[in-house]
Amino acid sequence: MLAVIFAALVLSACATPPSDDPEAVAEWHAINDPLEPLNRGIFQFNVGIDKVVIRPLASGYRWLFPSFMRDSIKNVLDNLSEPLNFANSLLQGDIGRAGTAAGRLLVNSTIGLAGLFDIAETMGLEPVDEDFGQTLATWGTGEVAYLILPVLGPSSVRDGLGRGIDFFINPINYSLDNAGLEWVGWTMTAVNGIDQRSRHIETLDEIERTSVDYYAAIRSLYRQRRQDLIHNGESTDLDPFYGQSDEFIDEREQSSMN
Amino acid sequence: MISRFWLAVVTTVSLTVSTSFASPPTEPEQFVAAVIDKAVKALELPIEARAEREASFYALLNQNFDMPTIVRVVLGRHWRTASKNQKTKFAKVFKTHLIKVYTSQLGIYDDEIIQIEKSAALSEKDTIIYTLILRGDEEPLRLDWRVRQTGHGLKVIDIAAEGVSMLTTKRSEFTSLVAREGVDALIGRLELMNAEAQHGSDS
Repeated sequence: MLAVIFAALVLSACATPPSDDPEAVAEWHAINDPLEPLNRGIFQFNVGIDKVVIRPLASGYRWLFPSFMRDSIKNVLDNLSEPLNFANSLLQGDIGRAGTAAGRLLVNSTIGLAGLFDIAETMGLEPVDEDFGQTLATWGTGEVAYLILPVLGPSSVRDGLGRGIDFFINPINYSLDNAGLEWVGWTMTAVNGIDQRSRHIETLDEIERTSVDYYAAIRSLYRQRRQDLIHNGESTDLDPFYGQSDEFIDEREQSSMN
Repeated sequence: MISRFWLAVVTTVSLTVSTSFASPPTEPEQFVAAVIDKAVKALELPIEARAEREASFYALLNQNFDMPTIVRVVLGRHWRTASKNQKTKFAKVFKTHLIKVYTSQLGIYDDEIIQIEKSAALSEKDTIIYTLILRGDEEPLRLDWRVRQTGHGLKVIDIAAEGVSMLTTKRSEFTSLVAREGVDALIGRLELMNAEAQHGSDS
């Protein structure tokens, strides 16, 4: 029943694709946000929750704990996600990164005192960040559609699904489950979220202040960051000059713009 | 994660160039080094000297950035349908926007170090220069400069931080607003933000 209601909601919230101008159609496909009306609604909701709950919590967290403690907390949480980095690197056929993740887990769990210190990085094992959304992308799965998740924020159908799968393949969640300690897992997720938010307070304020359309700015930023992660920093096809010739401007028009 | 870009936009400019090239610097690399140098000079001006700072950044944009191309690309498909009057107005307002809303907010130069890592040719005219900003204890920030050989020499056409391009981001915002409300609404919105930034720094 819920599924039916959800489906009806999604369908009614779909934006109508343009049918005339081929450039408008191309733009529609590039933006790939058929759920935009629904997404904008959830985005507004998230911004509201952020203002009254998440941002204040993140500020408080940053105020309460000195930076070395916050870094240690982050290190411990990051260390617990190394099994995921390892598994996803393997699934992507990236043996090098899988080795790095395994090495980091080994070093940081032992001489790094259960992950409190990132000793591995000082040894040249730079952090890797691989999730199942990225794995699906390397297997050739597209985003399907841009998606704003309630509370969790910007995502896509592919990346949202990836999050769920990551949860299920993470061995830590199984051990916690078996020990009846699910709350530990939820707490870790919440602390991780607060920590992430606390590292971006000024910058997100800055984006909101400088954008003419905050929703569209975040959509573009999210997508570019994901592309960058998927391609591990190599250049991607999200090129603003794509399809533009080098000389698409003539001198006559240039003079009117200076 | 996304915030890296804005941090970059804000820090872009608070940097100095380290000239430890592995091989002799190419012409585009020298150009980017010179642009960064000029930005640092502007940032060394005291915050109170607002008019001077703005004038320095204005000169930097006009002389080293391919503004006609940037202005055109940032409006996407709506450039072609805009009237001549709208184009002229938008170009003017957007340039002021870059100065008032971004650069004027930058702090004072804080001894950050920028290293030119490598460069890669994208096309016959375009090159990307990869730089790394070292900021004390914080993680280094990757900043990529897209430079084009134009009829008026080398010009910067885009800056990207951690893979996030300023031009791509601004274009998707602008086209989204224009598709819903039109070019005049975008110009109006930018004018309003410029006025607010002016007012904010006056008080």
